[in-house]
Amino acid sequence: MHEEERLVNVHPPEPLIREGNTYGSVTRKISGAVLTRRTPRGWYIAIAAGFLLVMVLLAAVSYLFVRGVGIWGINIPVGWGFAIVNFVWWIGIGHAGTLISAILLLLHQHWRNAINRFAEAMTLFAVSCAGMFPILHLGRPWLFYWLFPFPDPMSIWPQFRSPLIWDVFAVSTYATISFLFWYVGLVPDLATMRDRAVHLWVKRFYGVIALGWRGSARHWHRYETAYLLLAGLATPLVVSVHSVVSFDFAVGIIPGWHSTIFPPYFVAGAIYSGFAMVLTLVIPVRAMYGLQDFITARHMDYMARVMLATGLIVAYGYVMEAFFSWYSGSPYERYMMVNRSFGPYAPVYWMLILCNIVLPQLLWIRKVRLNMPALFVLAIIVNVGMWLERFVIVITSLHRDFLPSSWGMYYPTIWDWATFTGSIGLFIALMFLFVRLLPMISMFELRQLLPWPSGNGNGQKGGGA
Amino acid sequence: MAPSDDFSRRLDGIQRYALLAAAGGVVLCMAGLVASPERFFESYLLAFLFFTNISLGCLGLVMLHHMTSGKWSYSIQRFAEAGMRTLPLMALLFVPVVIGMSDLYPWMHADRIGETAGRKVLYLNQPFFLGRAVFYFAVWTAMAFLLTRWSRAQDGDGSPARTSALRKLSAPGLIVYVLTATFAAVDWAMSLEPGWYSSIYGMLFVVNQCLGALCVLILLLRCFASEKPVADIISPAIYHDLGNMLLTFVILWAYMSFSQLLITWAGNLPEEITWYVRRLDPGWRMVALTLIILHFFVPFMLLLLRRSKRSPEILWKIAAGILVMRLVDLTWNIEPAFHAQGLAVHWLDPAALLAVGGLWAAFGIRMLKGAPLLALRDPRFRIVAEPASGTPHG
Repeated sequence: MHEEERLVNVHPPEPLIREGNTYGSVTRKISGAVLTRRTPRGWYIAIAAGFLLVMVLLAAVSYLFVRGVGIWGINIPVGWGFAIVNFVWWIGIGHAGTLISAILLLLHQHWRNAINRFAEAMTLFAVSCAGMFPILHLGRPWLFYWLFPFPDPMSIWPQFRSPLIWDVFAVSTYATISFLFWYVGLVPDLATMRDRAVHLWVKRFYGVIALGWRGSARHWHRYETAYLLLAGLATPLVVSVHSVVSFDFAVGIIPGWHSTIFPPYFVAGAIYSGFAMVLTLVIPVRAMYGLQDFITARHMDYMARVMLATGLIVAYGYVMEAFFSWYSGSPYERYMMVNRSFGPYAPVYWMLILCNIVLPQLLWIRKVRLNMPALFVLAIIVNVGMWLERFVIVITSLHRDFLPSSWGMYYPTIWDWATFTGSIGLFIALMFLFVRLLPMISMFELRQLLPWPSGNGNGQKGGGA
Repeated sequence: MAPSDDFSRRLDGIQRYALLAAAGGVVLCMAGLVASPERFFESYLLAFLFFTNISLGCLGLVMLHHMTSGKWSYSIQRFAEAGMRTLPLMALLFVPVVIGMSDLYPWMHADRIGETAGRKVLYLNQPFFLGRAVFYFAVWTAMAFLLTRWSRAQDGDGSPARTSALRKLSAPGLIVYVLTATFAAVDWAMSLEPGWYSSIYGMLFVVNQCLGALCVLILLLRCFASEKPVADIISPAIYHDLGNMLLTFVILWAYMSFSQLLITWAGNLPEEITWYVRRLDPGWRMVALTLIILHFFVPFMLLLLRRSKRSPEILWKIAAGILVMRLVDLTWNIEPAFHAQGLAVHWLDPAALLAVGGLWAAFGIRMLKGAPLLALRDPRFRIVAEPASGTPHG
């Protein structure tokens, strides 16, 4: 019966690369997207939109440098506004890349080979967007290096008990490891690009960044060792970075922030939003460049399932927050939940529940997971929902704390929105530059998924070919 | 393939020992009940929670197995099924906890608890508590029953539809399990100190349940690895995978325990920090330090080594060690609620463990009989048991 077919389909038989591809065709199609193929029109539209928004960002940041953070809606009691919301949102998005590249590698999940490069690039750009916000939020951004412990004549030393300082280390470590992981993984493919490039300067460009890779057995041996070591180093980062971010809130005693579930709940939320962003980007790029041979329906199905599972953990977090705010017996904790659900920001809270919990339940249905437009819309909904979640956590907790006399409201200004949308533009622009300039799928790792050639000898083997 | 007579005889032997231990434990408990009833209920609660946690961990792992179904999880599936089928027994063994409720739970006496805890009477009251307990056990038993029944039915007919049904039950089943286990943890353990709360507590309990269950399953696998259907598939690679799972749960335990400690310590709020103040008093502090070293650092270091995961001889010792530390951790979690003045171990603690554990083991071993130790006719089993053709070199 077809029931059995379906069960079997869940497991290996369905290939991760569509039938008919060879070592040669994999290399040709992926490197060709950069070197020979005509740039699709969608790419121009995307990069133009991204570039325009980068200009918005530039204007917003320039004005911020001139006038200071007073141009934003922040004040007492809400001192952490959009900047921190955006920071947490972006840094969370990065986590899917690290999970895909490091943890799924160690778990021998070979389907990752088609999306790891793309997801890692996404991580890198998301972290860049994230890192920008706390620095802009400093008030005197040009003095950001004071965050680091260094012997200076004024004896300024960071407060090591503050999670904000842990953040500095967590995020900078994350950015460094993510970059190294991405770049090391690129080197063999950069050599392929160098060898296939026709134009002299293009050849030189890839030649320089390929670091002299020749594909010798020794190169491969060292590469494999280095890559596994980096994967091992990156694995704890998947959990630690967002745990530290959650400490930014949880070590304080404000109701709605001080909750022990925060670390695992933040990590699950990070992976949730990360997979949503990977899907948001992969679905259009896959269609634009016709990559259905390599990023198959099975890949989309798996990613949608990870999204569903992590979304359920996030939902568990919401349930725990709500239950324990009541069970605490503390009037302040209880009021926090009442305020969230029925206070001035209640619509944001209910939107968040709708986006993060209610609508994603559609992913239980296989047909939805395999329907690209539906999946794309759901991924965007989750992106929005996760942003709203951070908004609810940051703003509703701060705006009404223990003393009613110190309550207040927070309204974002045009500059808040400009900086936020500007950062999205920066992300899109970087992402599409990456797609245009570098092989967006790892060619040599994808070739590993093909069966051994049966002697028809159509060109490339592994290595620098 | 029916289990051999040899195997049945072996199980009978173990069952006899277990029952003997249980009988001894019950006699000691009776004596204790007469001598110091209050102390008996404290020890009994500890023993009850320890073994219920393992049964629940088995339930969770069985459903996880149906969702992921790797070769390693087939190797422990039948043992885990036996483990989760002890849940009806645990429901019965919950009765003494109910009898001792007024000794165990301060919220049973409205006059004895503070103002904060007094605001929770809507949740912490006897009828609701009992109703919830009945609900938990009903749900768990029903899930365990269906999971076993369908899997056994598949042993007979080999129908792929059963696999599909098992998956369809396991996905929502995992959600139900995590939620019910969370609230059971709040009811049975957290509410011993009704003023205190921690929102990670339920998740930590779930992790602990799976960790404890995994230790027991590794020990069982090691014990019965020479029996027929298991012996055909067992390999260092399976132990390696189990070792990695063990490592993951050990890390999760440390991660969540540390998160709870750090956040509570940093907040330093009176209604939260008191839980740790009691547990870091002289006596209990040594237990806490032991936990850090023996529940995390030592197994963590050992399980990083490839050799200790691939060798069943080393792995079972690590699992046994962690299982002992699970008991220590649970003791450290529960007992200071009664004995804030310092470390207090009583002869009734081992007696209750013997009684409950003996019954639990005897019942669980009985459940191992009557079915092959592997779900041989699950269509996915064929796929994972054969060397995969789709995977690349390495």
